[in-house]
Amino acid sequence: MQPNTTSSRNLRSLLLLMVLSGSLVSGAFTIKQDIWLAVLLMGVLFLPAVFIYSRITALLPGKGLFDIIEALFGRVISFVLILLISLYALLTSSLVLQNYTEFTVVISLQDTPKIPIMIVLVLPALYLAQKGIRVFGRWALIICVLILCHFVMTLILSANIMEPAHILPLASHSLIEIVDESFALGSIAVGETMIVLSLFGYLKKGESPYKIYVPGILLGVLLFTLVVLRNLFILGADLEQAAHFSTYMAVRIIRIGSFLERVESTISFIYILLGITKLTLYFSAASMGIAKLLRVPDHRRLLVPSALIVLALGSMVFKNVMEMYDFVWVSRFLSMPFQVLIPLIIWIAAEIKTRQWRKGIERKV
Amino acid sequence: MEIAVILAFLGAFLIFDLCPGFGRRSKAENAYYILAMAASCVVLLLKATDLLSFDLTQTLTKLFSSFGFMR
Repeated sequence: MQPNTTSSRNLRSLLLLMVLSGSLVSGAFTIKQDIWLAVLLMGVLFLPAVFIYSRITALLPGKGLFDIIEALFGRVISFVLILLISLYALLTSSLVLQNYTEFTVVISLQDTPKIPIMIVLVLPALYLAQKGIRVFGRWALIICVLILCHFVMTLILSANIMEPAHILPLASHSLIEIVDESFALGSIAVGETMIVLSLFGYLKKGESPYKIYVPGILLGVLLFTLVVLRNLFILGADLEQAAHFSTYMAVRIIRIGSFLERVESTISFIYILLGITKLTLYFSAASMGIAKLLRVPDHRRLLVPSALIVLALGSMVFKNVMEMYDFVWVSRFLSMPFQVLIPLIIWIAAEIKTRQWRKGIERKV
Repeated sequence: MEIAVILAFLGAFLIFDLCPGFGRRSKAENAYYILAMAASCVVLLLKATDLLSFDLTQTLTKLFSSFGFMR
């Protein structure tokens, strides 16, 4: 039987996909032609958080987020922290589920009820999570390659309709506005990668977390910037802001004679794959947390009930795409404790405890 | 139709997963499963019949904006 482990390459691909999936909500932003600056800045703003995530796993190698919490804190504190993170994972997965459902409804299935669409999205994610981290890691790599190929293809095909002057005037918005949007976008695109920490327990031995987290996030941010720039070059600032899903709108314009049309259907395909990947990650993380709380040895036994809770929660969040964009501005405050505060506490505790353990070993020697 | 899809979906998990594995799971696992199944059944059916109008994100948005936590 193959061990249920994953390689650094697969986790890097997963991080890249997590960052890219943030492009779904880029329609919420209001700084028009400067949005690409906000995307770039997000990489810089969240870099300290990314270093904290890497440091936590570097201090306690071979352990996932929940194992680290259990190793560092007492029973009560670890119970509370694991419970909070599991609830955050469940809530975020319900938001992700509704995001992709809204996307499907807006672009093609306007009259279809949302709950069947949500069920259809949940089932493959559930299957993928059930298959284990090894299969999920490979899936992430394949999807990553697919997305990169698709991006290059759309870039080449849209070369004749691109207008680089669309990004002018450059930096016409104030720095505060750009940072504000960058912070909101970063909390979705980069901050949500905190949950990837829960998979680090499955990483093959000897792999450096810094070489996974930092390149994964930076490549993701770079690709995200290129996607936003491509959309801006094709659509222009006003149309880019008016479109709910600008990536879909931008690719929609591509038409090569009469033999290659409706390229936008590939974008919906790509977005659905991104949604399934993100849902799988969050299902797995939530199940891992709840499995720790209930003392269940295999978290996969709790995937189905977790998916059912996500489905119930998902049906109770935003009714339309405008509410979804409104919530982007709230979610950054809601998720900040989980993306910054809790990792910071874990990091400080990990630094203190590992030093104590090292001193204890030295004394024994 | 929506209600039929929900019932078929939940029914499939009930028949092919919850019931056959009931003896193999621990008490806590079974309790969590039943709770999740009951909660999703109630919420999804109420949503499908438009009896439940509660919107979690809208409530949170209003709460946060009342404290000035919007843009």
